[in-house]
Amino acid sequence: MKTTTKMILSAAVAVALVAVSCKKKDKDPDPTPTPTTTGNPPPNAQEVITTMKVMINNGTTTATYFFKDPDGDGGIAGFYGPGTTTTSAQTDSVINLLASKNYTVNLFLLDESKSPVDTISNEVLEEAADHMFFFNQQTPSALPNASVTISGTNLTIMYKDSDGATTPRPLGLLTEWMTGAMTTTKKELTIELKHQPGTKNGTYAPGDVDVSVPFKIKIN
Amino acid sequence: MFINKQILVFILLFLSLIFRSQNCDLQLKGIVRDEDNSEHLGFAVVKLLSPEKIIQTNEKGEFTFDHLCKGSYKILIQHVGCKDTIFLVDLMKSKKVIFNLPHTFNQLKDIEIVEKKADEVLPQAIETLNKKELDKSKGLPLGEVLKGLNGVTTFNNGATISKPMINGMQGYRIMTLNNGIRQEGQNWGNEHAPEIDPFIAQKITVIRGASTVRYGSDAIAGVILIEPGPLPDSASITGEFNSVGATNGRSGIASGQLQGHFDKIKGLSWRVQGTLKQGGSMKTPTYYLKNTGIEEKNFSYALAYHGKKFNAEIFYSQFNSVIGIFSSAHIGNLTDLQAAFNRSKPADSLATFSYEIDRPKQVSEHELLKFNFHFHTGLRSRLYANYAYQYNKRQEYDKHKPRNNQLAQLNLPDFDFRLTTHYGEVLWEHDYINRFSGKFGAQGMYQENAFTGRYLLPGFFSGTWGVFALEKYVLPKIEFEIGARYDERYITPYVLELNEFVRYHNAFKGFSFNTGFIYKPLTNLKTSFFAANGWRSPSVNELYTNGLHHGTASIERGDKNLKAESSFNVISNTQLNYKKIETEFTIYNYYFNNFIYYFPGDRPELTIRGAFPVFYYKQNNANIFGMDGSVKYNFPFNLYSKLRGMVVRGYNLDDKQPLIYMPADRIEGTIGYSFKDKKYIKDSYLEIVTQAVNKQIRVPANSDFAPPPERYFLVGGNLSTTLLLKRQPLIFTLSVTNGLNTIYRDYLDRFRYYNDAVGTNITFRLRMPFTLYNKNKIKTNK
Repeated sequence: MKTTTKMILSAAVAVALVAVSCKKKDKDPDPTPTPTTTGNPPPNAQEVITTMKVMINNGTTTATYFFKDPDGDGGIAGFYGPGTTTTSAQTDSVINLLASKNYTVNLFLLDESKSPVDTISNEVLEEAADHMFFFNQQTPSALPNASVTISGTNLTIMYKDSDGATTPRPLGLLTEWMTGAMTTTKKELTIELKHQPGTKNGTYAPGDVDVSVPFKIKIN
Repeated sequence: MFINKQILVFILLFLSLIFRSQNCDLQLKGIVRDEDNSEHLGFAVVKLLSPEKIIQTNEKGEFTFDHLCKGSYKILIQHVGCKDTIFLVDLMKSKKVIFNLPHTFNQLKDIEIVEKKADEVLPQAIETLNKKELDKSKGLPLGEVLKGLNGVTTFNNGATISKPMINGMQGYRIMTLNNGIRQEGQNWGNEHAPEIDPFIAQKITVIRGASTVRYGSDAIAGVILIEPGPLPDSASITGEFNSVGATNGRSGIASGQLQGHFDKIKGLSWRVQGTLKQGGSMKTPTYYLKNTGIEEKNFSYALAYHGKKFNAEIFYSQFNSVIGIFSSAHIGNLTDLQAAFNRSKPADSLATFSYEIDRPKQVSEHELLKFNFHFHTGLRSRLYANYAYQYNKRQEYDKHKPRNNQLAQLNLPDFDFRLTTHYGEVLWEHDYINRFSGKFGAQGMYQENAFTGRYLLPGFFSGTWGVFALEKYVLPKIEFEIGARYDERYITPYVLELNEFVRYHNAFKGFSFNTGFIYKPLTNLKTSFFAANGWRSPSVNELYTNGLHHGTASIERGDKNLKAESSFNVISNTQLNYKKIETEFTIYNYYFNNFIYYFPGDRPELTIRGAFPVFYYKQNNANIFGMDGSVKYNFPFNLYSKLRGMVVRGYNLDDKQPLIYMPADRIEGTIGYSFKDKKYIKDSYLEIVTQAVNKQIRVPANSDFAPPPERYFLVGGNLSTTLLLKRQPLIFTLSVTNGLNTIYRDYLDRFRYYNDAVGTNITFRLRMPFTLYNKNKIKTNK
């Protein structure tokens, strides 16, 4: 066989092999923005929680404290409020309470990167059987009157809602905070939402942390 | 203390060279000639089979083997254009023999026999794992396979993710060449292992020391060459079947390959190869590691035409893996991290065995398509033109699903990266022309990275091109090498700043040089010295990464003002085989200008998920110094022993602190026994391997989540034999690692924060090479 014939033959086989090898890429619409089309943020199927609001009602007025991470995890660091609404970071937040009072506290979770703002806490309510809020990682007593006493300060937090499961367990979106005597020091209070799909048993241990925000408590 | 002991051991061993043993002092001198025209054949490969020794003839076709015992020897001689021939020599006293090599060049009318080039002799420290050594590590990840070589350690994420480290460096400073093409994956993650099927390799070579001129200015630490075996050059169909089973993880692997040469079309040969792997939860001495399974499906094929004037080859490989990440090692935030460190056992330690792979996990895919042409531009020179396309997909799934049930059902990855690479090169290479041999070339690469999911690493375009020249001057006892290279690189990333993508442009350029010499005063003594500089542009992640990486439980921040890093490296390697002693010793030093590294910030950063430690990329001047060596001694009665040791020291010259993540000092001792060959059983050996790894005490202050773990001592072993059933060889190897089920943690295993290293593992391997059809029935020696 002549060399040229062989060259043609091997080239033909090569082409055939390439044809086989160029396998089909993902058939879903390619989620990958090639850098050329960049300029818009990539379609982000990720869920973002930007804001936790703690709304404290003393019977007449409501004070709102919040933590906000406007672009989600990473990127710009998160900051606290009230005090400032700009990105100039307030890295600490003290919740001021009065001695010997009862407060009704509502927690809200928002995704403010979406327009309109997405209220994540409504979804938490829908999936209440898989979620639970915890305060300083403490496991509350059983319902009803599920409550935790925050050590190091004079605060007792009572869960006022239930997840409505067959064995009802606390949720924590609605709580009552009962203060005792005045304190001279601030005490850290970390509010956490745990995702415990199928494993929720009323204790802190199972599941993953969805939200974890440390505030400070001062009883005046 | 530890070093002093090592130095003492080396001194003792060198002293022991003085003592002479009485036996085995015979010398075999030979001349290799062409059978037809009696021309002396220079640079032919002469291989003494058992004990295996390989040398090259000098320009006059002469070679010498020293320190042989009485007996009969088989000698395989290979030379370009000649038939591989095995000669039998009876040696009762020292003698000189003429070997006439049959020249097949004229017999085959228009086909030149496949080139059997001798392994390149380089002035760097170069080490190879051949078939026999690979048999001991089949089934392990690539990084673990390479650990058998001096100066190579690994950076691990548990037992299934293993990144090789050369001379204490990893990641971008190491170049991996898969079948001649530089592997381009998502190299930036400490938990991203190279996406290569080790079963492709018939030979793995590690070149230590900056190989910047030939391979690219960023090959600062060294180069790993993964090479498949040569394709058959005569009408035949052969193959190999491998199967591996391991107790820890209850993993099973089947790998096979089939290769042939067409009967009708001379010069056209092919190969298909594939591997399937599945493993489940690994077990430490006391508990299972939940979700540490692995799945791999890999295949490759090649078609090659070897003509008299030109060769052409096409190669395609695909690698697919799903790797489970130990679920307790994937943590939510700093609080979880602290809790994990304070636990003596991980939270999921009650898990039982399972093959199921759940979140967190990594799914990766790597495709390589390569075209390769080479033309003979003369009897001793060739022109190569290579093109390669690579597509790398990496998806990482965080442990926690989205809180929204609908999103959770989609089960989307949190990161999804697609890296496409086009690579082309033209090389011209000539063998010994007037004592000069050399290479000249131009290389270019274009890359595109796209992503979806949480923002961490930006999408980018990147281009690189370089030209190089490398010449070697070869005298019988000394070789000189000198080379130079010029590279340019640009990176155009699209960086997320305040919810908008901003286009940046970075350009880098620079020269690299190297020079070296090899001195071979005796056939059994080789010493080399090599000096090279190299530079590396900061990578996209070092420049622009900005986000939360759950895989490493940290927020990572690049620095867009980073400059290129440059290095000056000297390395010296000495190999001495004296009587029954084989020694090798390597010493090296790297000086870095603007060494880029990862360091922790002062305080954690708050996110809605809690606080995370922040890591920044930073650069400083640094120095890395190290030495390592091995001594093998062949005792009488077929006993042998081997001792290996290594020491690496990294130092940040600006901060006057040790560099983080340097391998701890280690020493390894092996005692083995080779059984005598029988009619049906050959190449049998039993060896016990012990390894002691010291505690890494040289760490920068306040830089780590947890202090380095304590020193540890491991015992393992290998038992291997080749059964011959009617000419059908079956190679069995049984390996035991961590034989005493020792509880330990390794400094360079990121999982040490969360769990103990894996316990005893017993691996059983079978390799079965076979011949389905062979027209010429040329005796093969394997």
